[in-house]
Amino acid sequence: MPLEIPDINWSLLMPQLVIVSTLLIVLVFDMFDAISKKTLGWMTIVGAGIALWSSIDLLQAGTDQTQFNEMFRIDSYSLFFNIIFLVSTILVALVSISYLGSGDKKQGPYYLLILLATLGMMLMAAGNELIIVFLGLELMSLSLYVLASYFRESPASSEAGMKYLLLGAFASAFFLYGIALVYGAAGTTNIPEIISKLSVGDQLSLLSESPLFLAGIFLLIVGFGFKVAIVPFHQWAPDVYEGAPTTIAAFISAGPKAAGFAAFLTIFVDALPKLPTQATGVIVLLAMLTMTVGNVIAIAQTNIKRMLAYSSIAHAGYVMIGLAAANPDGKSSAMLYLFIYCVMNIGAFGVVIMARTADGENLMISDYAGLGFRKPLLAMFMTLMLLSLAGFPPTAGFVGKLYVFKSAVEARHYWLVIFGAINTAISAFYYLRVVVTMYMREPEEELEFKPYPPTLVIGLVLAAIGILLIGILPSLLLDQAQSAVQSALL
Amino acid sequence: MSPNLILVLLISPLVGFLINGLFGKWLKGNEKLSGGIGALAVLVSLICSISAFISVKNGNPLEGDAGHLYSWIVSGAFIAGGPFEVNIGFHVDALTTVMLLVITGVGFLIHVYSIGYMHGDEGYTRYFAYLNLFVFAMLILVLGNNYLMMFVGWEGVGLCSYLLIGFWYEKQSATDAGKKAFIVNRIGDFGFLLGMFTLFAAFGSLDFVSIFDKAEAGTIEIVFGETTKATLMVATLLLFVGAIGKSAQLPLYVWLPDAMEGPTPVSALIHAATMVTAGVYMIARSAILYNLAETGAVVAWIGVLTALFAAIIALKQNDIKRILAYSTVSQLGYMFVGVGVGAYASGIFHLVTHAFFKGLMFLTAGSVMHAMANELDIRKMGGLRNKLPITHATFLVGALAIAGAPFLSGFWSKDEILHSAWDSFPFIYIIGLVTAFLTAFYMFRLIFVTFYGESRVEPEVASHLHESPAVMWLPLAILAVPSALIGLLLGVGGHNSWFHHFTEDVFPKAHEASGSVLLFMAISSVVGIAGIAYAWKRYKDRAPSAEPTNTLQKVVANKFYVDEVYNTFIVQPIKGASHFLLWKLFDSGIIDGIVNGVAALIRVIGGMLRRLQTGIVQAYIVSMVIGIVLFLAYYLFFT
Amino acid sequence: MLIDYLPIVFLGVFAVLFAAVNLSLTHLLGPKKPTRVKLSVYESGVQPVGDARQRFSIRFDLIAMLFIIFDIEVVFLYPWAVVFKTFAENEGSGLFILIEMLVFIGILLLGYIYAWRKGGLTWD
Repeated sequence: MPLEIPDINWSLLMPQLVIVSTLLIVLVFDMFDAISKKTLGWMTIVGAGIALWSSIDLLQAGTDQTQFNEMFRIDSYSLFFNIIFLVSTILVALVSISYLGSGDKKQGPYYLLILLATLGMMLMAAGNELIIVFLGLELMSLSLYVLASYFRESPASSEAGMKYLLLGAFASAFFLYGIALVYGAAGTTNIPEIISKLSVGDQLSLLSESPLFLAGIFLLIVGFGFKVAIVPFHQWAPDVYEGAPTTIAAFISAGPKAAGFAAFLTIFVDALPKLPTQATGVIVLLAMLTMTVGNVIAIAQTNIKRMLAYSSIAHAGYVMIGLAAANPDGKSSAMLYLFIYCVMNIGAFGVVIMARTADGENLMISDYAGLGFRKPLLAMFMTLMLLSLAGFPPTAGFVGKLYVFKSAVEARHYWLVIFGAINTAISAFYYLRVVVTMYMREPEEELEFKPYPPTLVIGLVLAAIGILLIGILPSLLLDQAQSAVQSALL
Repeated sequence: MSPNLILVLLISPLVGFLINGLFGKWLKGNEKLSGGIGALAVLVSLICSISAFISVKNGNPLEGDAGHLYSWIVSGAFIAGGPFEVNIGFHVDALTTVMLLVITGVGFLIHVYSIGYMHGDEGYTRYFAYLNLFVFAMLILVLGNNYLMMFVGWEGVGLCSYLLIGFWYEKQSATDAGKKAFIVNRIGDFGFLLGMFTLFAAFGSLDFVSIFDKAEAGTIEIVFGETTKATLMVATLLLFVGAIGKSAQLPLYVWLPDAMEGPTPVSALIHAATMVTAGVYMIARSAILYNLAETGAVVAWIGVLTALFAAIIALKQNDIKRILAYSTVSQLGYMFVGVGVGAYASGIFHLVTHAFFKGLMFLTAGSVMHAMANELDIRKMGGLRNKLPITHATFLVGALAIAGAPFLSGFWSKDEILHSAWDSFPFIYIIGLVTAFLTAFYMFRLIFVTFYGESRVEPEVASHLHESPAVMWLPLAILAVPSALIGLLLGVGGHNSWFHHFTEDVFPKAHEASGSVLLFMAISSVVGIAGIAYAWKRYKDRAPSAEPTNTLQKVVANKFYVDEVYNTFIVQPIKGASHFLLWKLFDSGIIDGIVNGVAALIRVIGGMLRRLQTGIVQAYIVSMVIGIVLFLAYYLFFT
Repeated sequence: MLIDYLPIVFLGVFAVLFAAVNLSLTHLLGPKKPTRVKLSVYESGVQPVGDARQRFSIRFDLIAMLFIIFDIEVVFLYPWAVVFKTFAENEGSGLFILIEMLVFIGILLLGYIYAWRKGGLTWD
């Protein structure tokens, strides 16, 4: 077979190339001790900002192409996800700059790893090929394992990293095994080809009933399920979030989850209608289980980071509703939901960082008593984020839930929607409990809070504006998501 | 007119609210800046309103698709009925601009007045933040091009009203009054909500234009009863329940007198000039529906009975703000008579004149309180005329206007309403006339007792008596001008007046009232002057007696015991029922049983599930594998 | 459809049975005469010293990982070197793939310098 050099259009790869260059620049500058580590953070933000700008630019140009022998997609779908990842990265970097302080010599790798993880996510969203998806997944995961254990002096952080590594490797094995079986059955790892092989004309092909293929698909569900933390593959999440540095907990709960879903949606939204019904059944069951277990355990939490961890599990369940709907609306609403979720979740973790005292973080919900009047800005941000997580209008969370539920109604998954609605009610309980604690409980002891770091406030203001803007003007984002899905259909 | 103008108009108070709300801590030391920002925000809106007014005057309104901003929620087939869309857009026609001018004009003056009035208050920036937020909500209410936006504004003004009534939240009575206003309004809002649902079920939309078009074309889903008219009757009456709550009509007026616990400029702006007239605006906006449903009679009767009832109560009150509050309830009743009998323009005209003269009177009352160290009891006043000349003069203008003294603003608008009522509802006309007499009487009782006769001011207060600063009396003087003259400018000529011409495109054509306009004017004038004269005879040089002398007076002085009746027959039974039936039996027993049961169950399950979260990696892997095996079993074998 | 997999199940069952039967038979039938020497750890004839469960220095892993990374780099170079000539002669894109490989090596070199400067290569 003669080798050919693929025709590469470099301008289409701008977002990824910018991230790689930023990464190398940060790497070089990190070697010099004279460079303030905060500068590295700002470099990350600027690099991610340029990548974001070029993603938006490509998106508006209506780009829809594949590169590298159809392994890599640059279409509005992957670009939309790029925006999610880059916005998350920028927000997390903003929050991190003040969180880490400038004294720590070992800060360089921090931003390096964040950029690497971002690159991995972008690969996952752009992957048109199971191998590329896996490559991105590993690039992202390996960076995250290190980031989770970034506070080496803290036993909790080390434990978090170790657990994440062990369980993550276990899940990656399932994923890889799934790819192998799918390849064995379908004879290709190219995703559109696999999907097209599922049907012959209007009829489903033999492949769609082949046990080998179905087993492979199931293992892919397990692999993705772990990465996006759906029940019963979720147990790493609370431990990792609690132990990891709070900024990293925010990061892991946002971008990587979106990346996992990016690949998950690519494969399954188109494949599910062509698979036997029990495949959809599995997704529906997983969605119900995830929402319910996430929300119910969240009620029992007294630690706010753990509460947010379980809440993020529950939110993965809501996104699964869009996936289970398996129609274009479901896909676009899941995309919309992921964007909104990333912004509001990073915002919520940002407020947790904001509530730091000299002794460290205040992670008990009871520590938030009385903050409503003593720390109005902090309490206002927290209230906004929690209301959005709970899905109250006119915040973005409401819009996200509405469209996800709507897509499931269209797909006639009524029970799923009813489950979702009940779960929303359950979730309001523990979100509002924090708000009530802040505004209506007297503090048990006076806590001396550190002054708010300016970058953190900037990050939170951006997140708050985003949440309200999307809540009031959802079409800004929804139109993009819908046209992304439309272009994928054509 | 471009929507951008309206956006600036709308956003400006929001910006003011954000600045005062978020940076209150830094603004606290600088009252002038804080108040200045608040007032400036409304001034910008006022300028935009004037510009919008000129546009509409030149035949260039913002309606239909032109006013459409964007669709908030679009859904293919969320519900069986068809596409579900929630639109955000503006509807600016003659009616809207009239409301805009009232809200921003009176609002601006009251903001300026507040700069002086609230001087030295703990919550100075908080006050201006709330006040700006109120203006913003009120603007949404009148600018929206659909019922949902109207409802958002409706709830928004309710929230601000609650916050501002309970502004001095250290005072028990203030927080109680705030709660009362909120709870009573909930009843009305619930009606409004049901009305909205009915409209949506009937029309599949909440946009004004499409609803009115469909209503006129008769393409209505029948939701209630047999005919489209029945459906419309249900919808309009439910909406009217909302208006009863918000505009303090029988039987839900009880919150308004208590709302006087708030700062006086708030009473002037929210509880006299703007918010309470939202109900009248809503009915005027829905004029087409009310005409088709023919439910105006209900509106008119409720209105006139409220007018009479509140006027009677006002006769025996001694608290200066409460007299004004009952008078507001009574005047709102007139407005409902106007819109009820189909004379929508007249009703709205009275809304405008009332906003000026009642706003003026509340502000003068504030000026009196300011001078008298927050004394409210008119029996402890008297002879203030010499000490507070400007206050006295402006109050007199307001009182003459409301009493219907010839050629002042109230004279024109009230007369129009009564005249329009005469043809179809002669009884309403007569009750209205009696009320007009009572109004003139109690208002001048207030004037004579407060400003004339012997001074009954306590000595230590008397030594401090002073006219208010310019920042306070200047708005009074400015408001006095329209209170006196606006009728002459806009109202002369009855149905051919300028105001009727301006609004003729908005409202369905009202039939021409029969009879000689001059005759009706003469009757009204005589009645008004008679009321003033009778008040002069009784109160020119004596205070009201401290105690009511006979049973009838006692009943009136105690406001017909309505609050007590409500308390005994509604509040207490509900509390009792909620305590014993709901709380003890139902809640503690059944619901708590269920909720606690469920909560306990959830907590137990949560606790059990949490125990699965051992922190041991091996255990996690085991549970993952169990999960995988179970799902795999389901996946492969349950086909 | 699952019937197709029956032979695999049989194979598995047979393998498990074979091992279990053999092990238990030797256990049951074999003579047992344990002595001190027989029970001691076998370390290629050398006398066992101390506990086998010792902690290794983490630096072994670090060096090993760095070694593997650069090892793989070299592995990548082989196929590249094989096809380089063909490309240079037939396609005329020799310069392009040369630059490609230089970029690849450059990035790894940068990583190497980074590891060096951060003290990844020093033992202490």
